Amino acid sequence: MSDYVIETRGLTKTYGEQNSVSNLSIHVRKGRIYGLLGRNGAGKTTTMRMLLGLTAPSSGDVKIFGKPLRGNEKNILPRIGSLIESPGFYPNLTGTENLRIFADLRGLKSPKYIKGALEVVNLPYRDKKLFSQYSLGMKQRLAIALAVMHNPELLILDEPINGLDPIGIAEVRGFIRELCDATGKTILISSHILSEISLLADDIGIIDHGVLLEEESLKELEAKNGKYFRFTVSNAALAANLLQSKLGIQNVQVDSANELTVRDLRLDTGAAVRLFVDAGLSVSDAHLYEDTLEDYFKQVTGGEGIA
Amino acid sequence: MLKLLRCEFAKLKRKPLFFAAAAISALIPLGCALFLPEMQEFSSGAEAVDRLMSTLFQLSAYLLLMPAVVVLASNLLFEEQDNDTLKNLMTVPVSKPALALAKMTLLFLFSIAFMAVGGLVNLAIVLASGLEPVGFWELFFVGIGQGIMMWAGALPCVLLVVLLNRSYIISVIITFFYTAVNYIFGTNDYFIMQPFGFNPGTLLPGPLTFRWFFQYLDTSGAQMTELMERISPYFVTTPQAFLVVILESAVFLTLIALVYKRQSC
Repeated sequence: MSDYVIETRGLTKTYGEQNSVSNLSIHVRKGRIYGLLGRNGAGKTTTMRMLLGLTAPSSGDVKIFGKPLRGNEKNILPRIGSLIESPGFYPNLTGTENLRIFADLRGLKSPKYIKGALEVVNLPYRDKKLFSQYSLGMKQRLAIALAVMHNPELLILDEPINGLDPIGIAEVRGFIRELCDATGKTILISSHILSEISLLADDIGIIDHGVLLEEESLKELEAKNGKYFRFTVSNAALAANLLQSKLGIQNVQVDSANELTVRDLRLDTGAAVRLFVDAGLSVSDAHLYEDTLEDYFKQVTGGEGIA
Repeated sequence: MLKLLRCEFAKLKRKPLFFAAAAISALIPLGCALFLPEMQEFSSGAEAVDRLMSTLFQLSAYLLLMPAVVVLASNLLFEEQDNDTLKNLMTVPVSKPALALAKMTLLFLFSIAFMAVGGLVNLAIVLASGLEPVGFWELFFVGIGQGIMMWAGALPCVLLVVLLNRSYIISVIITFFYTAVNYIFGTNDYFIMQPFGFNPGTLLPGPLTFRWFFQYLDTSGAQMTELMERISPYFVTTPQAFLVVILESAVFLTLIALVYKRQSC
């Protein structure tokens, strides 16, 4: 049996002439947090809607828990908790009353499910405040409570930190990590905030214009990030010549009269600085730089960075 | 289905529109009793029951219940889209046709309750007048039957509302046009005086309902006797009336469920 909890093959959604999602094949491993990263409008929500059967794919397959979603919705969907787009609840009811409706539909008779879910997101049980009076952050918390209330094996969370304050973001992040680590749940989370994904996800899929550009573990992505040295010296051309002739260093690039970049990681910075000083050059700066995930994102999407 | 119906009831909490609609069931009986002199002077309990229930059948049911059912239907059917809750329900999963049918069942119960409350208000008026409510319970159950017929009669209009998807103003215009047409057809000789069969007098809810409930009212008096002689050959029996109601409900409920299913969440 496949190790993937979610597996899509050639998933495509077309609206008119436009491909919202194009030939998407993602693989979400059991017990991992998979971060779907992309700009607004990249196709993250459409992908998640297709994974939940809310939107029918134009072509391609979705397999969840090793079974095709189509035709198995009644068995598969109760094992999933989800938050898609904005939180949707009945405005004339309180948070508890809203959750009670969904608990009833899911056959969860004991109030402990509602109580437990509200506790997790720090919302009061049997509060008299109506959903229409909730702040955006409270609404988001209630939506997360709904997603986890029935203790699902898989969570599909579309931008779950939207509308949360920094403390709320940290709480939700910690809670999602805890769910994965302590209870072994599989979590697919989407975000346009790169820092969030890099703090949470074990595996990352980068989606842009509906196309999955990269799918790797965070470690693999980090290993791919470029490292390089930069020197600021009194004569960059001479310094470059010295590195190549005396230390046998390759991949040296003179950026300006005083700056040079070295991408050969065999370089011993101490030896290089000594060499420059012995040759009568003054060295005002020597640094090892590393590309960030954002740089990598820019590189693979071929455009602007992400928040 | 029971779960869904229970949840539909839970969603009604703090919904003023629904309770206002329920409250108007007492409006016409009370208004008539308080403001119309002929509704204050009865020669007997039987006459009081007959006149008050006749008002309930001919005014409340036609002019209030039917539009109330359609307006509430649009409110119930679109609340999931308006509040963005349909996605939460679909991922439970709840099937859209089942959801639509649960909402229609709620309206079915509302229609029965509407007529029952109207009937009971009439009973209270008769008792408050110190009269014996002779023949009340038969007319009370006729009222319940009429509530069911009005609910079934509102379904074609509900279907139109679902098809128009969220266009509230047009829905309300259609509702009031439909209500007026039914009321007029229900009192028009051309539609009333048709044999039971595949014709507008049988298929349209206004005339059909009239041809059924009118036979239960007291028709003594010269004017009524003449009318009775004219239209009595066209009365429909209870099995005939409810056969049409069942068939029409089955067709329109299926169509409503199918159209609702096709709408995106």
